[in-house]
Amino acid sequence: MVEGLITFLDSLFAGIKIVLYAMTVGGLFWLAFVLVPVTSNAHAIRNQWSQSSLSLIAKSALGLGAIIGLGFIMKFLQLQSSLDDEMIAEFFFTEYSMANIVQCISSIGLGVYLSVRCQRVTVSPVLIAKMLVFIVPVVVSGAWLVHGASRCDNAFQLMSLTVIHQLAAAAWFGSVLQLLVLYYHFHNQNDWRRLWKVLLKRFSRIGIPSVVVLVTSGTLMAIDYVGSFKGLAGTGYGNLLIVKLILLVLVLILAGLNFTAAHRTVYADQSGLIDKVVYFIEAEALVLIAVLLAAVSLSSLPPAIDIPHQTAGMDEILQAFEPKIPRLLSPTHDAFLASKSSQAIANGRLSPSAATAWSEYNHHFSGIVLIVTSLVGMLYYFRYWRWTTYWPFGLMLLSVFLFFRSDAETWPLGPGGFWDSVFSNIEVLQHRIATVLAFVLGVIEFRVRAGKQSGRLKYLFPLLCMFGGVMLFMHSHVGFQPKSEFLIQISHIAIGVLAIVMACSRLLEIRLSGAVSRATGFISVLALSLIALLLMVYREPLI
Amino acid sequence: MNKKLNQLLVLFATLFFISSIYAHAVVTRSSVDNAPVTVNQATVVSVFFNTRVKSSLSKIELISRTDENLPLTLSQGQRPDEISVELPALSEGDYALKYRVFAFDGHLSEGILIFKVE
Repeated sequence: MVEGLITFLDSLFAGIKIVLYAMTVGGLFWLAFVLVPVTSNAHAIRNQWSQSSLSLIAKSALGLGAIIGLGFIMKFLQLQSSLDDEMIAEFFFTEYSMANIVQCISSIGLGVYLSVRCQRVTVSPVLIAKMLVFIVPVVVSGAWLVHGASRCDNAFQLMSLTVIHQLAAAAWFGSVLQLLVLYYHFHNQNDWRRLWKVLLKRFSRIGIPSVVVLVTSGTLMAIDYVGSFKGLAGTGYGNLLIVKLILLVLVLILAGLNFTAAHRTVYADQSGLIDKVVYFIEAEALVLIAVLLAAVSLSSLPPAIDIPHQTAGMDEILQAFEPKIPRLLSPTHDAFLASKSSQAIANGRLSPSAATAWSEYNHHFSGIVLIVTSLVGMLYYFRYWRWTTYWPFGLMLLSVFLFFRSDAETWPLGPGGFWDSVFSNIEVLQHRIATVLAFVLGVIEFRVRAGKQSGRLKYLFPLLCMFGGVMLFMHSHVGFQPKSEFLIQISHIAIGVLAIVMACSRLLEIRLSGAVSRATGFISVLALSLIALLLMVYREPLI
Repeated sequence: MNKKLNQLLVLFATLFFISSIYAHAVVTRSSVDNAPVTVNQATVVSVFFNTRVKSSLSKIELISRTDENLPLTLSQGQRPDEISVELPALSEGDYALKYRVFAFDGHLSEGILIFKVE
């Protein structure tokens, strides 16, 4: 039970770490390439903005140091549970441990230095040089914590490429966050509109090179780690790369709007794009977080090139999405439990028939609930029928269904205890979280649309969609049977991407107004209907 | 609004994400792939992974048909991606090696390697 929790925390810390890393390291790029040049002739503004930017970097660096320390402790605990004391001592002398210690000390050092100094200093090339003393060890030691470090061939090349890839991602994401923070702090300032435009223009000098470096380094790594089109399409690793690519396209669309706004003249900007751009940047930040987390998930999978014998063929992939009549009858719970017994599994098939039918029925019924929900949701945008406001009730209905059916070997239907199953089986924990998510989403969304809920809770829907989406493509259980698990994962990945589209479009619907708002809202529900269709054609692989 | 951004990040940080860590290193080949282990004879099995692994921080257990787990003695093989496992003399039947290996980049991976004793 404890081990399951440690595993969960270890993964959690890895996700938080990459976000904080990007905020810390990317902050330096922001200072050097945007803040200093933009404020070169405006010292009063530079003083104000410096404090805001340095404070964010300081907090991120302190958080990064803390999370690296906690992650290191978690790894130690994981090993301690299975090894003798004599052997465990060796852990502290591994390259992994040394790199973590260097990263941790350097990050905390940077955080403390900036926390002490940021109220009194203004950003200057000298300060940036001092920050580099802390940041360079963080970046360089990170090379021993990436997948390339464990490769037998081309290790140095892969480590270098990954670090460059991480730097580009950090520069982009860190700068996007800094841009948002400055907007939140200073958008009521005199002359802000002009300054905002200058900032956006200058930001593109980080954004464009970042994209070029990201794509170039990513492609070079993909050649080594994936190797073929079959590997890209037929493995979990390849599919997560595709997810990263799709999300990158989504981010580039949003970034393109920002770029257009920044480079239009005031006269040409009759639609007031410059005032809306912050909302696109918020959506861009959300998608970038998803990309960073997808990258962490990617590092936990075996590269496609290493599992040629476990790579799914195109016919198997297409079969996963082949339309078929949904299963409308479920096997009995007793039949399900009998088929899941170890004896039944030992006798032959990995996915016994009743268990397969149970799982397919779960997915198909969920799809039917969601297709009805999303169709009513689409009607809501035509504003003819008041009752369509109730469409989020479908999400609540879905959560009740999932509560009873998703893990039928455990409480409330099965013999397994609630807490034991939640903490010993990470998949059960994920399902339980998804169940609560669906219910909370339904309640909040109904209240928001019915005008009963104002304030920040309205942002919960896009946030939870985002969380659910990322959780789905993190939902990789590739372990003992990579191919069969991948064929389950492939539909989950597609649903995860659509959930992120839902999150972004719903966020834009809330933030924008008028016809654009309604259009993005409609896209959000349309994405939900596509999720429903994917669920309705879900097929449990029998391999 | 900065507070809102912080809250957003904290929420992500608190809730976010779960992924399986048990998959990073996989067995690419082993000395028992096509050749069964000889019955009643102690054998050294070589297991090759797709990554460099540290044998001193790894663990391999023998699983027999009776579901008994027997921890085995490991040593680093000739290559950095190889672990040598000492199998005791075994009677005829199907067995499995359940491994948990520590890769050089710090990832822990679990898996099962099935083999025959004839």
